[in-house]
Amino acid sequence: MTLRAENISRQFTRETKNTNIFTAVHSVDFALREGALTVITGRSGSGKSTFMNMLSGLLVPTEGKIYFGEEELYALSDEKLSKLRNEHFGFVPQGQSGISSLTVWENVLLPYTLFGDNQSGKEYAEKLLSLMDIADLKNVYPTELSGGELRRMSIARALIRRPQIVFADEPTGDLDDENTAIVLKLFKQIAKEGVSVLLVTHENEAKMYADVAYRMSGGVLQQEKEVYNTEQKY
Amino acid sequence: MKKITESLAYKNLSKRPGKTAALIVLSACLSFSILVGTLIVSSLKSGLASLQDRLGADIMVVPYEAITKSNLENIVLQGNTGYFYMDSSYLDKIAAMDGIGEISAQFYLASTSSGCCSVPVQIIGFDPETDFTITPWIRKSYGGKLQNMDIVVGNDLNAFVGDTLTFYGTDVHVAAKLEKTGTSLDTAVYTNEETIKKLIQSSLDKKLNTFEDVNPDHVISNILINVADGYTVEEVLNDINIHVRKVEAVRTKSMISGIAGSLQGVSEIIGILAAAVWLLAFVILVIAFAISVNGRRKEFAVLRTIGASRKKVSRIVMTEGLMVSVAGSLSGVALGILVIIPFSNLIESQLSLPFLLPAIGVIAFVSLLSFGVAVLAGTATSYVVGSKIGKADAGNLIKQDM
Repeated sequence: MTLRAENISRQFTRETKNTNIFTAVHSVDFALREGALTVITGRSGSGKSTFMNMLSGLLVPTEGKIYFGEEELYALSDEKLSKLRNEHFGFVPQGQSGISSLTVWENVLLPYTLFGDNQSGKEYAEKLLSLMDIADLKNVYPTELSGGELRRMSIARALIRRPQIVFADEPTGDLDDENTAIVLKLFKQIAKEGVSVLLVTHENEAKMYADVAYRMSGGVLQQEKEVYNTEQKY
Repeated sequence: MKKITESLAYKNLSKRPGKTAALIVLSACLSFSILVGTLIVSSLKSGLASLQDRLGADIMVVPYEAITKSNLENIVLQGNTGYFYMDSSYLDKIAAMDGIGEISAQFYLASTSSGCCSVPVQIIGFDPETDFTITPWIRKSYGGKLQNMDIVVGNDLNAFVGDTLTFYGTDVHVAAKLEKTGTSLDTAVYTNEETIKKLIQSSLDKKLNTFEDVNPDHVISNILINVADGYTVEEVLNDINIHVRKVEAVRTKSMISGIAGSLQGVSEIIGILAAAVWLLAFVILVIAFAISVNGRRKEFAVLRTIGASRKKVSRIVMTEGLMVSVAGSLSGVALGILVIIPFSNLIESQLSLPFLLPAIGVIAFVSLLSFGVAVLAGTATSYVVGSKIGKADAGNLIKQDM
């Protein structure tokens, strides 16, 4: 199913000066290409994370509409939208995103257990942990993991329900070069398996892996002319 | 199957033992302050009511010297040992006056150290035929008639039914042990007129009584009076004080008014202290809980990204609050009971006021109430904090915690 945005904008009121309203995202039309790795780059504060949060059903646009297939996301009740996120979207948040009271294993299975399903996904979770190279850390708590391991755990959690779309916000932000390459290759691999991946980052290196690349500046989204992705790069 | 809200809330709490313990302690303070404050104030009021019941008379007539030497209240209300005597003819004289409803004499004697007691005890003799203050109290513990050389001991004395005690070389038999009153009367010994006269005589024989020329058959220590219908206490009191020389009629309520005043003051201070502790604990609990939850905003945002609804996130926070409140409130109630019940005698002696714990049913009710109020306060706190975190946009929460 396609994810598309029609003329979406988002304004914020600065808390310290509550009369000062600024626009983080300006009237963007967008359609996420299915089964491709889409990368949006831009400087910090350019509006790319806000844009992704709106697309992923986490932040209500000030204006415009977002559709997942024929379903208008923000016309749904919070319960339904949350369930939709759980079943169809995977999200890799910016920074460290482990639930500290749960082990790696429990974190990865949380999208199932959150809805009372304590049985499903275990076999796939084993596979994902192996794929992410953190299988031997399944009983460890997030506080004991390195940045790269935490990020891979987040990715495994985002993939556990075999989502149609994966959103990743600065997934390589605090990783070294080696871990950055591992994570970006993982997203590329996921996209090749038919998942639509939307990745926002301030690092231009990510564009090397992209099927589609955009640049966000001052809340305005522009598609980049050059398509960087070539199979032989991997 | 354990619900995720409960299991996640439990894990969130158990993974942070220090913070959780602090929240539990604060929550315990809520129930502890309500329970202990209420029980102390209620015990003081019960103690005063008990003292009024035990005195149980409108007027007490005593020899004038009992007033002038200022030891009357000490002996009657504070449990200090001592004695004073007047001629027993006063009883007949006053009984013949107008306005006298019930009238009975009592006899005081202070013992020397005895097997039961680490300190001398006050022995109070009464006439079972006319007594209307001590007999109703004794009947609650002892159905029989006190025989010659039988005594009844106050609840705080280390003597039991069947024991034989010796006062001034004379053996007496413990026939009953009285119910606790929470007053100084719990440390006294009660007996009938015949027995106390023998004990007074024994004290005289051993030259241990400061009244050397006393004839036990012709003395009494005080006269207790209930006025007859149609008369006021004031009328009878004035009549006695005007027409009977060398004695003083005292209104028993005025004897207690000093204690009642102190009790009112102490009750107010305890009430204010309990309220202050409660309020302080509540404010700190709100702040501590809010800090604990706000410190994990990112985690709650992550839960939203993987499909937790606003309601589910709020519910997890509220469940955490409920768990902390239940654990804390139970601990507070348990601690309160452990402090109040075993240490009630110590509290009584420290406050120097009548102190009678309420019945078990009342303690259970107050405990339940304290538990309920503390849980309600904790749950309300977590509801406010949980609702706030649930209402926040996950997108904003993630950005704020970057």
